[in-house]
Amino acid sequence: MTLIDKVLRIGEGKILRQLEAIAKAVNAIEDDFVAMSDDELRGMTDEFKRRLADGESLDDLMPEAFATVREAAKRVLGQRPYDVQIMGGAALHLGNIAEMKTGEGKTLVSTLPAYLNALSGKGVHVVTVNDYLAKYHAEWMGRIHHFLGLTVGVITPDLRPDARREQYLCDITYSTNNEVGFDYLRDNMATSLDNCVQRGHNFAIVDEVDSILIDEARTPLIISGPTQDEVHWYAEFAKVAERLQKDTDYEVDEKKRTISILEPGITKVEDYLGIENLYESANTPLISFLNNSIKAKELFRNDKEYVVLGDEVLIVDEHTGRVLSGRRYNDGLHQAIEAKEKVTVREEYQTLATITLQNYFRLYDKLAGMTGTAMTEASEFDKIYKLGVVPIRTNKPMARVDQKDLVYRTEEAKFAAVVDDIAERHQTGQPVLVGTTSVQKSELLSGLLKERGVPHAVLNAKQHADEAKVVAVAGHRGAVTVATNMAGRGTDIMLGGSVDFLADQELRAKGLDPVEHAEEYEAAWQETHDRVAEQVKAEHDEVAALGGLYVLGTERHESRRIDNQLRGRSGRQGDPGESRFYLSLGDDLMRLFKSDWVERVLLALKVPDDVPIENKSVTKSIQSAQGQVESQNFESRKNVLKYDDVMSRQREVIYAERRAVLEGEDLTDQVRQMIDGAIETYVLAATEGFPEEWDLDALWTALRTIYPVSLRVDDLEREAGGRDGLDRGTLVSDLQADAQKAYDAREASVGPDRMREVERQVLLSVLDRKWREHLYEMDYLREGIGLRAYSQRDPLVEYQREGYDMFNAMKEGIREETVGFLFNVEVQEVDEDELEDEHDHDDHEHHDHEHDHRHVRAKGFEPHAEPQQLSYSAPSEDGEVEVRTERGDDSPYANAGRNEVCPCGSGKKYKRCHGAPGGPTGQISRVG
Amino acid sequence: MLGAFVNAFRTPDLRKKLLFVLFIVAIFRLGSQVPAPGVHVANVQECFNSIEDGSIYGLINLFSGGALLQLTIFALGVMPYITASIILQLLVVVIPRLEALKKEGQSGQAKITQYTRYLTLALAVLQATGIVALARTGNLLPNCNRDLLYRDSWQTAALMVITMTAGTAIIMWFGELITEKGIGNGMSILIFTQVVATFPASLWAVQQSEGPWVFGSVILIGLIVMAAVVFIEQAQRRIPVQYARRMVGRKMFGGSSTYVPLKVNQAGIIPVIFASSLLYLPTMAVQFNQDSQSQWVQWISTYFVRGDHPLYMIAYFLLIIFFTYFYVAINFNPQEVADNMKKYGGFIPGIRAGKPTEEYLSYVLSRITFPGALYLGLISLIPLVALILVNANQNFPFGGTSILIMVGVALDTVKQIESQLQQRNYEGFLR
Repeated sequence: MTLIDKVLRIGEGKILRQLEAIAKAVNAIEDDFVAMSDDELRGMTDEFKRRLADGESLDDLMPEAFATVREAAKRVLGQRPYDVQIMGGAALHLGNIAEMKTGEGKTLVSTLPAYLNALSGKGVHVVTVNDYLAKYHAEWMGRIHHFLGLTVGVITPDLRPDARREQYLCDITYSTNNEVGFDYLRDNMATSLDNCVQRGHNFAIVDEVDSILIDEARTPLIISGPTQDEVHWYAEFAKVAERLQKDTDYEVDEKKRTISILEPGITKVEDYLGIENLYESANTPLISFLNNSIKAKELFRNDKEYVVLGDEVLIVDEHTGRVLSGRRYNDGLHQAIEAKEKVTVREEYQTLATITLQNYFRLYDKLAGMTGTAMTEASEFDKIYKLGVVPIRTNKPMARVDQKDLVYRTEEAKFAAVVDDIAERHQTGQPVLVGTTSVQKSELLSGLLKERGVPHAVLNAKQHADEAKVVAVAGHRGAVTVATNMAGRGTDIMLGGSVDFLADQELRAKGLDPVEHAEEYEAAWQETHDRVAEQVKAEHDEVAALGGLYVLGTERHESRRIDNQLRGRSGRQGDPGESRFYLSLGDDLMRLFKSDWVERVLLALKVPDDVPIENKSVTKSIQSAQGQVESQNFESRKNVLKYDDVMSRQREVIYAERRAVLEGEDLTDQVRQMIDGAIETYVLAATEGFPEEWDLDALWTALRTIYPVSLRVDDLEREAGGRDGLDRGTLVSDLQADAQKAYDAREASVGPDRMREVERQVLLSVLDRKWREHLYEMDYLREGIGLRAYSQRDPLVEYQREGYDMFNAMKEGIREETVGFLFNVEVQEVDEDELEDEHDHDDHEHHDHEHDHRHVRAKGFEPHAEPQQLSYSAPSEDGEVEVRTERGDDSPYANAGRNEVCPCGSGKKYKRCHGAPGGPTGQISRVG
Repeated sequence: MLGAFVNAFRTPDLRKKLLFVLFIVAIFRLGSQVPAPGVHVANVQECFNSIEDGSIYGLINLFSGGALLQLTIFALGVMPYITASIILQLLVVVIPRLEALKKEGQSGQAKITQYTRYLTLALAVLQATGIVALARTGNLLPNCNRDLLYRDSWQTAALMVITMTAGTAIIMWFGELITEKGIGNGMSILIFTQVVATFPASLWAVQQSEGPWVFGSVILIGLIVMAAVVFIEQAQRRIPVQYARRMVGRKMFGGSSTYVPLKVNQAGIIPVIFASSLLYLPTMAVQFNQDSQSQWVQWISTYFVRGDHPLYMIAYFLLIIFFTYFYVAINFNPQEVADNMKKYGGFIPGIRAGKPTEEYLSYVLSRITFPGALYLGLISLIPLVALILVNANQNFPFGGTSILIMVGVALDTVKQIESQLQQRNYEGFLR
């Protein structure tokens, strides 16, 4: 523990006492609420709202509101929140992160602050990690809120904007982080207010907060559209990379994950391509192909960083072990990997809008989070998000035993020991969960277990079809489960098995399907459920007697949190359990970060390979290796955030103005000013120095591209008495007046109302395009800014300064282009019918335009000039739904949930049909 | 520049930062006036006023804002830290382990900073001991026979050493506080205040002794020199660098914004410090052998004790040029730069990655360092020449080192304030 952590812990006692006081207060008034009738209890909501309006604060209401929810939860769900859960709820309300162990009922905890904060009527977002959980929570926990008279919404990927807006208008909205983030971005790409769905960002409760704010901190949400790409080069360069030799032709730095090409390599490449100098400006793209192909060859390994499924290269999330379907490495790296694996190379996408999840969540007035593992990162939460971490004690004491690490010299010896241990435990009947760090390692271990004749289940990015089943039975007597990080965060392994799952299985075995035979299924449910529960209870006790779930880690992860998540699978709700990590000096982490002398010490000690090393300095060196990775990652996150702050400010400004335009603000004054501004810029640029030197003809030519100039140079000169008499100031004002007159004329010919509409459309369109280009340029600036340090300048300061200048240049560009288009664009009138037809091709849905039956349309400025096919990519917990490609809303596949029936009519589930990787491509046009 | 400050004071959180800096600086100055325990203040004051020039600790005294010779709790000032940083910078080149740390990035850098702190403390103990020893024997302030300490016991001496060392640690902390919570680089700002602190007094001394004409011309020369320094400090050669990026659409973005900047004065002020330190050595030797009549003492006293002899000036000038090249070579390693560029996919258009890039960088660097070295040498000679011209005996206030420090720190700080202001004043296109 660092000093900072210790200092942060000083305040802990205080807040815990505060929380305990609240729990006591709730207990003290509990009886009053128990005595209430359902209606009286429901009436509390209105009373709270009234008192809130009378000036009481949410904090004042907290004990009573919590007592209300507690009683409601008891009546509706039959679950009475424990005192520790009340404390957790209070911690959340006060804007903290509540650290609660697995199985402690975080979901129920979140209802308390959600209810309390929803009373203010400004909306509460409860953010979970996947769609399934969002839906489930909304239905299950929503019952409490419904009972108390609040509305509950849930955002699912298949919702259309109107429905989304409705859900957001509910008192409490359940959703996933990606949905809320993308909705925010989409709202800021919308070309009409009808398509905006969110209302403000009041209070968010984020589940698995450490995963979202820390692990995913470096991967932003991106909405992108396709671009042209020269796909054939990737294959060429994959061949080139094959021929190059490591260390003679190029070098690899595994720690920093970079490669660099050496002289002989350059020569080889030049010979192969038949070019003179690879480093000519014209060959820039080739260098990028080359770098990517070598990176793909050396730094990205099949079944580790990615897996190949069908004709697709899929990234495996290092933190969750899940496949991130649809997510792609950027800047051509993904294509290079595709070329290396000889699957179809897909074209590159261009970023249209992007935000990091942290910056999205920082938009909220109040933020709170829940997770099982936050304490190790407490200082980071405090520094960056001003979130305190409050560890809430478990309801029953934790009975898991965390054994000391066993360290072996070689990986082989380690795995041999692991297999021995598993086989031994399996003999006794104790369930074992084995955590591995990659698909490849899990398969290796699975092979070893097979040789040994130990039956086991495997769960990894490639074998995840039966995930629910594997997890449900992982707590059975004698079960052995080999998993990647997929079995880490969020999986609930119950000793003896999951009652709901087993009951469902049994019914299905009898031929009852919940959809096809709904009634019989429901009828049989209660009876089966109770019977299974009894069985499970018996097995639970048996397994508990054997020592509970044994968690065996085979390698340390990049951070202690992930290790702790794995450990946390065992010992839920006071169950017994055990955990142990087997490590070796050959593990990636140790190989890259340990100090060399450890190896030397071991050799000197002459420890046989198959004997675990017990040496203080070795243990310490493992800790320091992990510490190094953690701090390296922390620094890089901090750095990303510092630079992202600059982007964030720019985004705020642009989005706010875009919103104003969208909301129909009268732009006349602004447009008039833009005209003045553009003219001034042009004139001032052309009139440097003495009047004789001015090239007025060139100026006039330039001005004519903006607006029809009616003034003539000769006239102006005559008026002023010759060229010498001309003066910059009057020239500017004369031309400005002339331009304004021209605009008056244009407005008269088009009609004022329609002109307003044209102004709005033109401005939005220009703005979106310029902003997109700006995003790209800022990215490029960011890449090279580190070089500034060579002149003792702080790169961040330089980035801020130049970013500011670029922003201003973009603004200037927007002004000029807008003015130019406003004068020159052709204005059409479109009838309602025609418009409807055209809207069929738009990527947004139909909406009524009753207020105006004719539409004004600036030619070339279709309201939805965005690329039609948008792709959403985001960090994702279950890796299934979050990423999708859509061809506008009119593609029936755009909104198909993966588990729904495919819209193509085949009757199969979407994910098995058009949604399947390598399945029929989901781009047919709308039928009818 | 003033506009930036006014605007900064109008922005609440920037105002908070600036006030914080001022607050720390105020404490720092206060500490520079508070005498260490055991010091006979009245005697020190008297002796201090009676000294003229030629103290062996001139440079150190400059960096401590006059606090050193008055034996205050912050007597050592920022000098131990600067020395420690320079030493570590040199060691990084020599010791492979440190070099590896430096290349490790942030975490390695943090470790080096930690070493710097330890070394600072070690140096502080050393220097404090030296000064206290000199004070005890009466050699600190020449031509002064009074007792500088009340009671001359080893306990007093130890207490003073501890106090001064602790003072150095606090100064270090102040510097980091400013960097973290204030604005600009804390250590630079503290040096800046120390340099500026002696400024009015020494300027006024010129007016007192030489009259208004000389005073006016000194100010005039100072302003001209300052303008020249501002001009050259900003000058840099920008070697364009391209990053191998995917072209998006048909448009190629990012033309000229990425480059390797090579400053004309890439070495900064360090060569001057090196040169003057080296030239102090003979002076110091003489100081300790004042009574000796041997020939070399005579020779040094003639040519090297006072800075106005041509031989001294030439030596000074040549040393600066030498150290400029030396320090640039340490500070900017073309091979490292070329390697880094290569790793992250950057290259100089038309020049191959690796060796050719390295060679090209060295070529440009050696060309640009020459005028840089001349400039440094000339700027540093100005006070010596002016010393003769105005026939003044005291420190010429616009010394090369002082101006370089003042301009450098001021430029940096103002730039930071400006960029922070910009961050807070993003305006949209609708006004």
